[in-house]
Amino acid sequence: MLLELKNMFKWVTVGGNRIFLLKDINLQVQEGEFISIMGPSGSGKSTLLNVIGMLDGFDEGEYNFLHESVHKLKEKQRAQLYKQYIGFVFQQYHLIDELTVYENIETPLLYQDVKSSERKAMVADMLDRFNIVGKKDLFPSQLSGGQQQLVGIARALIAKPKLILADEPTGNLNSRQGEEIMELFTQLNKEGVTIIQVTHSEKNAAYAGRTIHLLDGRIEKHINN
Amino acid sequence: MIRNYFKVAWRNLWKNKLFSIINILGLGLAIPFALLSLMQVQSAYEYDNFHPYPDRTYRIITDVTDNVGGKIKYALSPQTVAEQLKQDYPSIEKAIFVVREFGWELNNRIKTLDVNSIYVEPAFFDVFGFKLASGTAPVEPNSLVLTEEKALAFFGTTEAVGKVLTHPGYGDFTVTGVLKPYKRNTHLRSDVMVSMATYNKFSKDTALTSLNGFTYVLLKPTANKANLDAALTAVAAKINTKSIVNATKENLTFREQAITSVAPDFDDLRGNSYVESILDLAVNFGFALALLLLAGFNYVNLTLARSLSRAKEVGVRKVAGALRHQLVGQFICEAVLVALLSLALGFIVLKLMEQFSYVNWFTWKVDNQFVLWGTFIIFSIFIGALAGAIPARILSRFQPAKVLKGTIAPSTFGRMGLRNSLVVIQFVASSCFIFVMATFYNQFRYMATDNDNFNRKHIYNVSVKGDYRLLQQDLTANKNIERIGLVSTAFGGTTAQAAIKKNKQEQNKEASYYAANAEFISNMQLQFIAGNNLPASNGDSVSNFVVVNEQLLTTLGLGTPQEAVGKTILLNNDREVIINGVVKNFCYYIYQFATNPLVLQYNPSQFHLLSIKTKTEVDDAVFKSEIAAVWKKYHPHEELAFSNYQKEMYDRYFPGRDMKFMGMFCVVVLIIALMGLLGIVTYHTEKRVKEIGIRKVMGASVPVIVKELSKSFVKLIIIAAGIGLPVGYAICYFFISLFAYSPGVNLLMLCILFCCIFSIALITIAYKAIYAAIANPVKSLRTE
Ligand SMILES: Nc1ncnc2c1ncn2[C@@H]1O[C@H](COP(=O)(O)OP(=O)(O)O)[C@@H](O)[C@H]1O
Ligand SMILES: [Mg+2]
Repeated sequence: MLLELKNMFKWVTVGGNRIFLLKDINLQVQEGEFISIMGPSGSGKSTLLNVIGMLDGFDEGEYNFLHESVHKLKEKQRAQLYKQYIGFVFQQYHLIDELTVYENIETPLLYQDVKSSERKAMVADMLDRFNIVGKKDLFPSQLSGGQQQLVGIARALIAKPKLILADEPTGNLNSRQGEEIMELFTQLNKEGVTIIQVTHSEKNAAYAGRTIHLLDGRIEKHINN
Repeated sequence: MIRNYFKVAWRNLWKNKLFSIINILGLGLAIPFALLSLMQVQSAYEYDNFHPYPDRTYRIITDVTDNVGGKIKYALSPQTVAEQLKQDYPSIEKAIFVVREFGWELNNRIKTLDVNSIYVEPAFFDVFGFKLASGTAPVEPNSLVLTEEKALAFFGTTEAVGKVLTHPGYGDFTVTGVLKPYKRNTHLRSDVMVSMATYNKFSKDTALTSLNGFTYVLLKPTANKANLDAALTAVAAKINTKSIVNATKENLTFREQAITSVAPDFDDLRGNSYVESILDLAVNFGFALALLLLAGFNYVNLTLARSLSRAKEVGVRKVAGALRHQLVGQFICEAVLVALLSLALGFIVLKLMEQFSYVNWFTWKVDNQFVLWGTFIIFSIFIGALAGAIPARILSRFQPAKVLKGTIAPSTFGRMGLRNSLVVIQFVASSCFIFVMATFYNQFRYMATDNDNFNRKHIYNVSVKGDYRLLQQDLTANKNIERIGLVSTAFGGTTAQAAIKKNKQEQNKEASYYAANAEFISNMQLQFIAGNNLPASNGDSVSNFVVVNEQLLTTLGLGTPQEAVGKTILLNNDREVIINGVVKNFCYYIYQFATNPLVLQYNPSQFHLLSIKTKTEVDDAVFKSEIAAVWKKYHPHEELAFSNYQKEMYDRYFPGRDMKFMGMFCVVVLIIALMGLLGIVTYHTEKRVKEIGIRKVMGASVPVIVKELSKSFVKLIIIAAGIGLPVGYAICYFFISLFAYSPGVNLLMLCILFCCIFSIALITIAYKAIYAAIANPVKSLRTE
């Protein structure tokens, strides 16, 4: 098993009242799975994804990742864990505007102390794979949305994570670009990468093995596709 | 990693040009002042590094312990120390005594120059690295050597050996040699080096323990410091036993200082001329640091103001695995890059300053360029790291989950308070700086143009020697001349001293003494509060009547001015004189000091100056030639020494260059504050471009928008005024109270200055606000 959430709650206190963002979440994810999360806006999808990605904490319950108890780890160890195993893809791409395509993809490697020669090879590989070798010296503002998202995915994949977390990766793309991304995810999944994606589109959700429906911070239903 | 940091930093700088320019320019203007003070520090450590035996040359300094145990440290020592060391201690190769005497002036009959003088023994030139370009060391009484610079000034040539210079008190001196130019940074700095024989001839202070000068020893190469210590202890013991016999209760101990560690002065030694104390250096450096701090505020402020746009990057990098310290490192790298670019700019500015506003109490050159650049660069990196640290800490704290979701609004940071206070501090500091400088300027101008204390207007001074009477008589025929006064020396310079007491039984008190005639007192337009001017006299004998100031009455306890007139006092222990008139206290010496008792007496043997008052404004050159024509008759071989009193005093008191330098400092402070304001205003208006667009579409007029945009900044400036005016006034008041004679703090001037600063700030704000307000709303909305 890759990760497991048990009776997880997350809340914020506003004016003395607890507002629950996640309520009693129980979720098991096996290595090699492809999961979609759906639900209306504000239902807590991003929150859940951030908690899984260890970018955000939670208030009650347990979270085990590769048999480590995430809730017991210190911030530094958590960062160590996610930078090694988890890659993020965002709806707004979130590329660094001041860096070129090449440098954006390279960034995670810098923080993992990968040697320069090795970095070069890995980035070159990735550029090749995504067919963006010709764009490597361009800045994000010079790319189309679809191309930016490709760079975003390349960056998420560069450090060879076990898990990709994608928050509405196709939300800003047209349907053809969206399809390409989904094909890519399917391909990656076949290669053994675990993927959890948030999406609003039934069609995109169907690429995954199962879909989790969220409502008001609670898992409403599991559907196996 | 570091390379990546700098790459991003560079691109960020390039992308935000306005902010980069503000930061680099601000720091770049502040840094030269810091560099200058760093150079002062370095040059202090490079003092006296040109002597031939640095490792075995020492200066002997004295600790004086009085009978109640108080200890005072002096750089000086008694003359006997060198004599004893030389005679009795074999470990000592040479021991020499050097005396510095202030207030020397020399003339060559044509012109008189102030010179900086020391008395030296012939061995001085063996121990120290001062070389003669020509001639020999001064040995005989009334012989001296001088610098090439002074030789040129006196004789127009460096070939001065054999020529004669005259000292007003000690008579004629023969020039035996001319010094090669030497490094300025030595505590032995002097224009003339006079034979010790001269000192021994004229010195009256022969007390055993008098700390008259500096003692230096050169150890034998085989000797060590322990030998010297032992010798010093022995000498001290001998002197102390003798002085007990002489009933002085002080106890002397001697210490040695390696010649290379004479400067900087950590001990705050007394009599340590031309050695900067560590405190002076620190004060100097403090000013530069304050300026840097203000420029650093801009960096902090602008970086924080832009933090929102950097937030996304922080989030992305954290998601990519960056640890907090790595992000801190990156932001600090950016600041360091800014600092290094500023250093480059600052160095250019420093060179320009050296070119265009040379101030000679600074050292502009140092010996070791490697150390210099090392310090400069390390210093810049340090400044950068310091300025970068605050924004780095704040920016690196962002939670990726929040910033990437875009839920962090600027107000969430809660940093407006910090940013606003930085702006206020900058304006308060710049107003205070400017106030203080303006107040000093005011004081200097007062001293330079003052006619209230004594009259300088329409006065011409002519130096005379020997018999002046024929000249004086001849000059009265000149129709421009209203009155000719006679005096020992002009007011405003050094004064002669006299001892006064009420009667024989009392202790002597010190008074300033001027030999003057009645005409001189009239020329100076001194205000009599009782009695009359000196009786008119042309005689050859000293008069028994004196004019005194109020202070003298207070000091001697002679009652009211009216009561004092007619009373006698004892002058210099031997002569009873009658007070003929009392004048109001006025400043005849230095403006910092309160008035001393003053005695003016008709004493023809001491008259050295004709104080000529003209009836009206005359042309200097024409008048001089008229006087010169008469002068030639009586002194065919001597040039006329003639000066326009008003101009002379102006030149003496108005430190044009220093004021220029200080003025520059003020301008830099103000520019830094204004740029900071400009940056913040720009940022805030740019952020509100969309809002302004919407408001305009909805029908808001330009003035309404300008008002809306400037409101909060104007508030800040008003707060700055509220703090800056009273604080500035208090500081000015403190500084001005260091002067016994001053026009006071000019409150009106401060207010006007503040209005200027205020208006410049307002214009800055208005400029940006109007610019934003008149922009085409459709354009700004479309780009969103
Ligand atoms: N820090 C917070 N404080 C208060 N409410 C929050 C906070 N974070 C998220 N929420 C609320 O929680 C709900 C879930 O948010 P999110 O997970 O972003 O929903 P979505 O399913 O659209 O991704 C939303 O209603 C959001 O307003
Ligand atoms: Mg969401």
